[in-house]
Amino acid sequence: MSNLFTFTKKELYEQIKTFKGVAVAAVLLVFGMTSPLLAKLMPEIFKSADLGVALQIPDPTYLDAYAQFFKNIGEMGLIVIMLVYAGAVVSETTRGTATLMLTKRLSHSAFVISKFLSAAIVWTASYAGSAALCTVYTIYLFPEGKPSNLLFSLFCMWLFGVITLAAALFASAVFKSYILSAVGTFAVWGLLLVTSALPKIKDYTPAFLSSDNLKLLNGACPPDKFQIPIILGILLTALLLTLACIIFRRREL
Amino acid sequence: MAVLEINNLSKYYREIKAVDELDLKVGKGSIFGFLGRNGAGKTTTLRMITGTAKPTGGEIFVCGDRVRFGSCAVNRHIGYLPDVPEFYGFMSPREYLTLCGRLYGFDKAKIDQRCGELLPLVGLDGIKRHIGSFSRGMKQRLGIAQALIHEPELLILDEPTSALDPMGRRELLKIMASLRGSLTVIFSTHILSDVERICDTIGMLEGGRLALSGNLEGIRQKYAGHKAIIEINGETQKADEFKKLLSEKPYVNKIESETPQRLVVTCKDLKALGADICPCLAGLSLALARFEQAEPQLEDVFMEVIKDE
Repeated sequence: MSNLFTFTKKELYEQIKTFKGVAVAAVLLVFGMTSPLLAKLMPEIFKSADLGVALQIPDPTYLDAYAQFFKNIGEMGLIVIMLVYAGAVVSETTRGTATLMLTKRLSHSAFVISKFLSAAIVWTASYAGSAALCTVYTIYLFPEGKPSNLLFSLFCMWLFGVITLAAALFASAVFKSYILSAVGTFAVWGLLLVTSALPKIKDYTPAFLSSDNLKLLNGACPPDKFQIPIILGILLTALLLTLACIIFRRREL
Repeated sequence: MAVLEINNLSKYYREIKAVDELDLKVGKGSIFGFLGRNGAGKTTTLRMITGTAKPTGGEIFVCGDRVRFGSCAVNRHIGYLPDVPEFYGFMSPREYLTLCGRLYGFDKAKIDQRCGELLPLVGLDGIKRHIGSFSRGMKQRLGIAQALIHEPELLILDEPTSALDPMGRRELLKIMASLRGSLTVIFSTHILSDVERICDTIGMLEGGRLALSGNLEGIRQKYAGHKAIIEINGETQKADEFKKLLSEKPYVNKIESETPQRLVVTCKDLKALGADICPCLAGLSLALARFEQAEPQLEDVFMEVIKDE
């Protein structure tokens, strides 16, 4: 357990020193700051762009601000996360830095889990900061709106980010090159998103956490409906990490 | 008691036998030179000892504990330096050693103590810059320090001097020689002069099998008496005739001649050679200037073993 803590600390230090964590935080904070602003300015932008047709654009609301935020985080934000963390394990095995660590008293499982934990810490801190900025700006720009279940809605997107991280760590532990690992991560993520389009299972898949969490804010979807996706999301995360540890342990360095 | 014991160890990469039913014992306190040409199976064997490669068959014991692939349990006995050590470039040497110490559960005081001992030993004391800017030699020296951080019983060094310049090699060999007596060292290399400098026992791997092993002096003596240097005074034509006469003897394997008057004879029976030289020379009216039993170099032993295999 102490090795898990030691190596997680090293991972966090590395993310600061190599600017990986800083880059993730910067991208997410920018999304948190600009999403409400974009929602507010979008009608003005359309009006100022002379499209040659008269557009009837309804006045934006706080829901547009959060919709923009979840769209940015759920797409670009997670793509950045996947690109950064798809190399978490594989970059160490290809460079050879993992050999010196794993020939000490650090187990393969602690190596993989430390990387997941540090990535999850950076994701959590960055996402929390981003969500806080978005909330403050939304309150400022759309003072009339009062979203319901805001924290729960934010939690659903956070959990989907954690699942994405587990997918990245899984691919990184399984594949022997960064490119393959990134492709593998996107494949798992893509499969998840595909399930949200399948009528029979779309309400139960973990992808529901990111596709329908906005509906929590205006009461269009009750929180109870997220129970199964949350449980399945946690189980999927555990499964991906367990498989990553088992496969990595069987891999020669 | 053997610090390292390998029984019937094999490693196949599909049809290729990288290591083939290898048996090996390394005694406590020795500096063991693990020899073999490139591709002989040295690195594969060392990787199996450290649990980073999976054996196809056989078993390995380090200090009595069985090595299991993918498990870090036996690593408390082992300090390992791979052939091309890679470190976290953003760390300083002290930060890296601190991380290594923490992974062995050391507290701050113990880590400070070990850093205080090891960094001066490897000549990196006071160097605060990042490892990313280190030369190959500095990385090798840091590699030794990280391998020694937990005071292991067995230190495994995989070709530590191969890519170093003469200065770096000398410094590293000096560090390795200073460890004599304090722990057991396995030192893999194909640079025979390095082995002659610091090793007391050797094992020679060829085709994944142990072709030769034992005490370095014993091996030298075993292979001594097989080679003689003969220098003669006389005409070149007669010297050539003498060489021809010798080459016809059944116990002579090979004759090398730098000049017609200087011959290096490899033979099976040095006594018979000694007895036959004088009559041959007398018959050709040549004078013997020198007859000396050559001290066998490890290179000669190495070449002979490889040839036999």
